[in-house]
Amino acid sequence: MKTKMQMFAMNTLAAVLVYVAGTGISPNCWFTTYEPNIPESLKGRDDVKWSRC
Amino acid sequence: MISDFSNHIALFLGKNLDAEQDKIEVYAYGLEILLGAAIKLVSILALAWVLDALNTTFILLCTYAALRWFGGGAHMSTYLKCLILGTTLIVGLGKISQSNLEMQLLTNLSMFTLAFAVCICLKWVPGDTKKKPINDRKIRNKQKGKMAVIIAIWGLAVSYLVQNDANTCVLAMNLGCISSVFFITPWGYQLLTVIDKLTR
Repeated sequence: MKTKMQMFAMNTLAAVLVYVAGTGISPNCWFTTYEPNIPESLKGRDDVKWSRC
Repeated sequence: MISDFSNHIALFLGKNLDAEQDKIEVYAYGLEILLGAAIKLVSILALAWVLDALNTTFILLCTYAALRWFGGGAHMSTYLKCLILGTTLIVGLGKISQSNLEMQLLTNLSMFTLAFAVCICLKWVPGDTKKKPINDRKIRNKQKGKMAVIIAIWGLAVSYLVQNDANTCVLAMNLGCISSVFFITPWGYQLLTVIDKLTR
């Protein structure tokens, strides 16, 4: 049961992080004045065509 | 430091979820954004609370964040510089917003701010960066449209607050808007570049 809960928590965290990473590569911008380096795997995604124009 | 911490957590998460290296990089990137924003938010609110300027700082931050989300703007080269500059700027302006100015002056300031924001929206939005260049005309126009909607909402909120004599809130919304759109202009980019070079 404990392992199941742990896996659920980790999967949820992973899903949230993927979503946040998605907002990070969108044309929108977080309120912070620092931008982390975008991973190569995300640069290749179809929904970031703007970065390759 | 924040980057190393994010990488460690992402690696731990990736190992437990049997994720590939690409996915781990995405987790680390997401975590870096999330932690960066959370630490900055807590620092801003804590400092504002200490300086007894929580209300105005919160209003200013909401205005700043909403306009920056669609308008973009200049960025610093490291997280620490961003944290120090951002916290000082937002809390400093929040403290200044507590000044009780005359409503006539605030009304004039609001009209100036609105005109300034509209001009910048038409000319420079979205403010992109080297890491995230936005060259597609369609996407640029879409961002301009979204920014225009946010400016319109800002205008309506300010006129409501003016009618209700909420002086400090009006000043906070004005300063939040001016600071946010300033970092979209070439002068904003130049200012951050100069600060970056001076603090090397």
